[in-house]
Amino acid sequence: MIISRLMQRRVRRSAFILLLLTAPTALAMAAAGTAQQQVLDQYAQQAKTADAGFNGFSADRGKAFFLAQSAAGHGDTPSCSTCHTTDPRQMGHTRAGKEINPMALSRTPDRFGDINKTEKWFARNCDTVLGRACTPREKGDFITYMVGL
Amino acid sequence: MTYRHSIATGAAILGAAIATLILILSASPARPATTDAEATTTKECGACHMAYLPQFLPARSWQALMKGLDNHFGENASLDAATRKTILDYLVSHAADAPGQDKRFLMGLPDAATPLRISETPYWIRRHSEIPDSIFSHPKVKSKANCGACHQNAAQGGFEDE
Repeated sequence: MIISRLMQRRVRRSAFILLLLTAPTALAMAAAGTAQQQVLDQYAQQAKTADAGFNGFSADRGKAFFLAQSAAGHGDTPSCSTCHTTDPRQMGHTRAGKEINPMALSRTPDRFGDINKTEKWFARNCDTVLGRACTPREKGDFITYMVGL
Repeated sequence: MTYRHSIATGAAILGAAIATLILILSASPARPATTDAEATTTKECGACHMAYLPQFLPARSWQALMKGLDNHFGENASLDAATRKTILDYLVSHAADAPGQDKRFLMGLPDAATPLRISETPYWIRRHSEIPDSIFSHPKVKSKANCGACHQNAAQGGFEDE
């Protein structure tokens, strides 16, 4: 009787410790999803290689990047928000009038889960809007912003 | 009895042979290849705008368009080399001047002209001559590129007068 009560307490305590240990990771996973986290991990690795002082992505920087206006691109689309609107939770529109599903992960859960698709669109749109390739940090900031929305 | 039985067996074998032949012919490799290329074209082109029918432009126009995807009407629409070739081959083989295709979009088009916009072809211009510019610039239409704003079955190839 006493033994079993002791066992129960021990099990409860270890379950609590396990929960404490895994909760932050589990929360981050729930927000980003495993596939998105893998994409972010790749960009983090690249960002570290490019800059030894890299200390993580920032949703705030991602938001500023998303809303920024650029004069160096192709001209018709000076900002990400030209097509995606200033609220990434809303539907966007291409210049040809086609609807674009929201960029926010909460609205379009499969966004940024496929590195090839993600790279394809960054390659196209960074050139169109900015007239250059985006850096790994810019890509990671952008995704971090969209994953948290 | 035996005779009738053998006729029935013979008919069954013949039937099975015909059915097999039909199956083999309908699954010939040319068909799925075309379908795959069409699906790729619809998916990739349709990511930004309606996947316009290949018959809307001559082959030379599709060749010029697919050469300049890094600046496609002001946007970078680059594709990997394999996808680009699949789509180009499909567009060229189904273009307005390809054998057996609908040739309406060649009407009035000079041989020397290589229109990059469907809305620059004489046939398109004639068919839309009564539509005022204010319709095309309307916020719900946005652009002459947005066929589906007025033609409800445009994506399926339906362009009756509406």
